[in-house]
Amino acid sequence: MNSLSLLRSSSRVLLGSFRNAGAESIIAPVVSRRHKGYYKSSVEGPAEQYTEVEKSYVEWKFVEKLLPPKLVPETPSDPGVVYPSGWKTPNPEEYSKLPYYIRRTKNGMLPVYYRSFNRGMFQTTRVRYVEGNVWILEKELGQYLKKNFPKQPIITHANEVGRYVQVRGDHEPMIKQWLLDKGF
Amino acid sequence: MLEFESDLSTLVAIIIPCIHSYVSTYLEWSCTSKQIQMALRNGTDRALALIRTLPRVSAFNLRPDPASRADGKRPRGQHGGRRHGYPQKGAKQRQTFPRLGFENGAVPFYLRIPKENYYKGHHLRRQYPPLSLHQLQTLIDTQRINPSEPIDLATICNTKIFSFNPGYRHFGFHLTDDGMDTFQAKINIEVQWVTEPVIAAIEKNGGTITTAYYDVESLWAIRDPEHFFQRGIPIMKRMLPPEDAVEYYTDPKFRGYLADPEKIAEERFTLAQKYGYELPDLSSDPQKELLLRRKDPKQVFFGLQPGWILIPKLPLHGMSPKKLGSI
Repeated sequence: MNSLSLLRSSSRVLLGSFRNAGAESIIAPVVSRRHKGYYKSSVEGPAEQYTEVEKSYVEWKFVEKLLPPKLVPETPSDPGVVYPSGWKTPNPEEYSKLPYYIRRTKNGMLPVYYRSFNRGMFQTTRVRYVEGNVWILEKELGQYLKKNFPKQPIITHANEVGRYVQVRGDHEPMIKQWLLDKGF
Repeated sequence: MLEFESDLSTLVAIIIPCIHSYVSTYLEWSCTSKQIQMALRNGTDRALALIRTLPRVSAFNLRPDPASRADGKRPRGQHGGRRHGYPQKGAKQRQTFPRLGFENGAVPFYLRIPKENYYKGHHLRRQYPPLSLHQLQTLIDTQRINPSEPIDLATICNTKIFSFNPGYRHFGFHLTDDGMDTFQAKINIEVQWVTEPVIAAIEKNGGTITTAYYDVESLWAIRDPEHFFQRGIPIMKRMLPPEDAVEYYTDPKFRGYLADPEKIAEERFTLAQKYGYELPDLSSDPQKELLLRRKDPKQVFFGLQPGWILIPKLPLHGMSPKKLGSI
């Protein structure tokens, strides 16, 4: 920044001196370069300079590192391990005791989704991919939330064919933690 | 034109009964077995049977949708009528209306509501979509990002979870402080905008952070390297930041890539004192080489230099150097 401002000030001084001289001034304008990209910049030398071509295969490994994976990388498999971000691996020992099972999404996350309709007037949180007894899950989820929110109306809804349990309101983080504690 | 149309209409009129009779005779002639009868009752089969007998579609048997062509003439009176549909005198006939938005002297809506220039010129300013430390930690925990490689824009975009659009004046990512208290990864990361507490969170865990500027062309390349390589153009030189960004990227406090490395070392020390953590010693670190790996200011991709071209239009995955040499 400093060097640039110096440049500018020096060119202004030049202009000033020309003016004072009173002569017919060929004022060198302040060169304002518009920010150009590489391809729009002019070539530095003559075209004959750029004829050497060399094929190289050694740097291919850097290209490979820049290519994205075709499949979602596998998540760690150690059961029930809690990671610094709060992400936890499922624990079959814990969840196999329960009459329902909630599988993870393809990205290894919990299938709990918050949805809102009517400009936020109607909100639901949905637990998807439920297998087994959805009714017991609905009941237990309702009981857990009622205990934590005694003054809020907790309205639950279960859909066996759709394999989901839905609760009115925004309870996504709480439900996620509750499921993690159960080992899902 | 009229003659043509009348011919067509008569032709159309002729064709349809012909087909009808042809199909009925065809049915009478061929349908002995009940199976064929049942089959031809199906709408699809009937349509197919019809198509077999209809003439080829050409300009001769096509007609434009009547609603698509508006009549030039207004259908009123002789020669369009005395007043051509307009009422007598007044602004409607003379077309002397007031300006759009005028409300007969009342202060118009577009002047009544005041301006609030919160976002004036926002479409011209550089934007850095956020990426929180918590999200970064989650990416590392779920093994989407490898912490034993330097993390840059390409790494983040290759997870396919986060992306930015240079067309919306996005110039990279802003690493935010959400999750800085639980951040535990030791990484070498390069982002475009960062604040002091985030730098502290990363350096506390023994990592390094750099802020680097990418010009628009470099951004398009780095956000989707696979697509860029398939374009078959030489890798570009990264341009230096514009004037208003030079101050940030030459500042050691923000670990700018153009800043003096000695001053950066000083700032690392003072930041550790400010936030009250023991600054890990980089020189005796086993991952020193990884943590100190930096791109040249004019370099876009790690390991690749400007001017190089990748041979395009090949399936890049699974293409070994040997195979490439044979091409």
